[in-house]
Amino acid sequence: MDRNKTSRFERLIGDNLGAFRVMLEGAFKDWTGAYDVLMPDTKQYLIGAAESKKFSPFCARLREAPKGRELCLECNLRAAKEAERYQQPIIHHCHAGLRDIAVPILVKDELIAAILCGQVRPESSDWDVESLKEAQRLEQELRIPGGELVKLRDKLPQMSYEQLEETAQRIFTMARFVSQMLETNLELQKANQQLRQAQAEQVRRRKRSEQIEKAVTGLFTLSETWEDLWQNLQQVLKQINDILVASHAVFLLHELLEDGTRTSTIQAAADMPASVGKERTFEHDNLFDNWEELQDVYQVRFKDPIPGTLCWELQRARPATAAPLHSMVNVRVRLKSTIKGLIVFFFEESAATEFNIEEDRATLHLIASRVARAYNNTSVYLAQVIEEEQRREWIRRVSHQIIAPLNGLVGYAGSLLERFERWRQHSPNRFASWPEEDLLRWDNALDSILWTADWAARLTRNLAWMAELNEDRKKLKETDFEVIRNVPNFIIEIARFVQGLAREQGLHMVHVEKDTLVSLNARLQVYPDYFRQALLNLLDNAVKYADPGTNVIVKGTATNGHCRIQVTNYGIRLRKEDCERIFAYEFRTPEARKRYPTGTGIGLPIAREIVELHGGTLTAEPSRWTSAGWETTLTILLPLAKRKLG
Amino acid sequence: MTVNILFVDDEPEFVRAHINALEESGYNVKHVRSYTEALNALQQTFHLIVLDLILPPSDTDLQYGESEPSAEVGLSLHRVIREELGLTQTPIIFFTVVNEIETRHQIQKIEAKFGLSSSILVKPMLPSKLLIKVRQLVGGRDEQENQ
Repeated sequence: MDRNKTSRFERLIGDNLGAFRVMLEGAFKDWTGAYDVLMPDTKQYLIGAAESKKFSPFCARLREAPKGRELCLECNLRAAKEAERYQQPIIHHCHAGLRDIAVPILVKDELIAAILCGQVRPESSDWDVESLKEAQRLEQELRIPGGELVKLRDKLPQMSYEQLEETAQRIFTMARFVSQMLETNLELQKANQQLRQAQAEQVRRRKRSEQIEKAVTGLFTLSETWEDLWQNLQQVLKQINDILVASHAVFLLHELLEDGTRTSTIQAAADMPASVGKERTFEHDNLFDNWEELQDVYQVRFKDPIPGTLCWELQRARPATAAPLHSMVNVRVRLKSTIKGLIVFFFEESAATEFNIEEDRATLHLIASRVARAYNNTSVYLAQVIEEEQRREWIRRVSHQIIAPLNGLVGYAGSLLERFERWRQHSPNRFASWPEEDLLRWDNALDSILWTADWAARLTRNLAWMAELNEDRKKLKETDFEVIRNVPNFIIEIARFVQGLAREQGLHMVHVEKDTLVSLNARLQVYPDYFRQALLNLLDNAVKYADPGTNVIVKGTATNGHCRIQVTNYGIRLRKEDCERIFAYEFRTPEARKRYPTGTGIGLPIAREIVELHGGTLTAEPSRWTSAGWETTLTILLPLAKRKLG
Repeated sequence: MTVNILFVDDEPEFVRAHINALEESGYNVKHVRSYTEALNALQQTFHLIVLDLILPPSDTDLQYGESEPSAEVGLSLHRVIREELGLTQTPIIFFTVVNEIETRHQIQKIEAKFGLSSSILVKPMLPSKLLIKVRQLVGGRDEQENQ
């Protein structure tokens, strides 16, 4: 007997054990003998009556030997079993010939405990004689010195069968009450256990949902290519696979091709055997009808698929030692009510109960919606990329087509101008009859054609720049940058292109301060085409907004490890609050719009981007009033020597 | 000695002034308009090639518009001139509207393979500027006659 074990009776009665003992005492208050409660599952007695004074000396002597105790227990257990069989108390002759009562405490007809009492001699003399013989037999069996047991037996009280029966029924009434109480307790315990299990299951499912939710956050990052998306999805499926204890998972992408065929292709597969190629594609009208092909794709064999349900029993062609796959759960991924794909989780038999479609519906929905969203985001992004690329390509093509004829214009005008100047130099007589102002007009006209064409080309390049900059910038290398040996000439050459506009605007000139710019010789390192564009934009801007009769001045210095080039004009006012805004695309101050209504507002932003590409800055200071008018200066600051690409 | 220049440009109307300027300076200019015309012309010897990058593959493409002129054709012609025809001593001036860095790098890569530096003039450009570049690379007519 292991007293450490708790019997089912004790577990069921729980905290009511004390009340039960009291009830028992009450039931046996008129009983002079001993009583106890036997718990058959642990073979233990509840009260321990054998140690009490009420225990008969006869039985106590019998139980002094271990064999005696054993015989008593066996007898009591038999009696309890009989009581269970009849579902009634029984009065029996024990192994020692005494009359005992066994009253069953039943829970759902099952014996939980037996209340035992008795240890009396039969009243009838015939029975008593038989009982004496039993006692004598026991004496021999247990080697109890002769006569001792019999003497003790003689002292036992006698009780009639009727008396015993009356006692049994009375105890049984109490036992039935206890049974009901235990049954209620059992129901309660079951209910509590179910509740605890349900709660634990809820907690487990919630934790699992949280884990899955965490896993699918991997799909929040935008995948910029389809390959990235499928790789991403594969990793997420792997994580979900591990959480769900699934065997493996695949994502099938459904597509409707131009020829009307429907195809499904495995795009992502987690833990799938290498023998199942990812690129498997098959045509179908309805995925769920095409059993043969599905089996080929997964290299599985279905048995008795149940139409209309989401789970099938299936056997998989694997080594005999591996457990067959038990079930398959499909999660449909929808995009705007069209089924875009299918995620399929395969489960081993042992893990089949891990997943319950009804209860996990919300989790499945989460997975499907995230996958759908990730697919949609990539799709939209790539469409935008294609559109952007097509737009850039269109702008590039159009700008080339515009610049080509402008080249013709520049070519013809340049040639005419050069020829005209040569004639004036070498054949002045040819123009002897021409009035001076006609000559000047002719000269100016040709020059105007030249700079207008060039200006148009520059504007077109600005537009092309906006389309190309981000892509082109990535390709710039250190070797694309040149050191400008003669900075004054470099800038004079650029300024020449705006002299025509300056003249049109009534300015004196664009004045390049050679003396100051000389200090930048061999220290200015730029990408010539881009930097030329930036300077032209600055000069263009300065000339457009300068007042007639003024100059635009370009000067430079090399100080504190920087090249500084400044463009100053005297014209419209630049207020402090607009000093940064003028570098935003399409922003124009009210004064600028008034002075030059058809401006585009892209020249300065592009100039700044180009300067920043060189690792420098382009800034504007608020205008200050001078005798020549509002003086406005824009400053380019570039680091000297080699610089990193911006 | 006459200096022969091959001028490859599919839109002669826009480079007429430049070709005239070269001819007036004493250079013998042959003008072709497509990739295939250029390859045919290169059976002769030229002292310099002026190459627009945006070209159609052939004159029939030009006539019937079967394929768009593109910079790929001009770059391909460049590669053929250097690598297949082996004309590594003939200077090439790239006279083009195309100004992308990627394109420059492709040109520089091939020229560098043969120890050459690339000459890229971006349109629009004055004829006199083109003339200056040509003289730098092959000399004027007087210089050639004195050699």
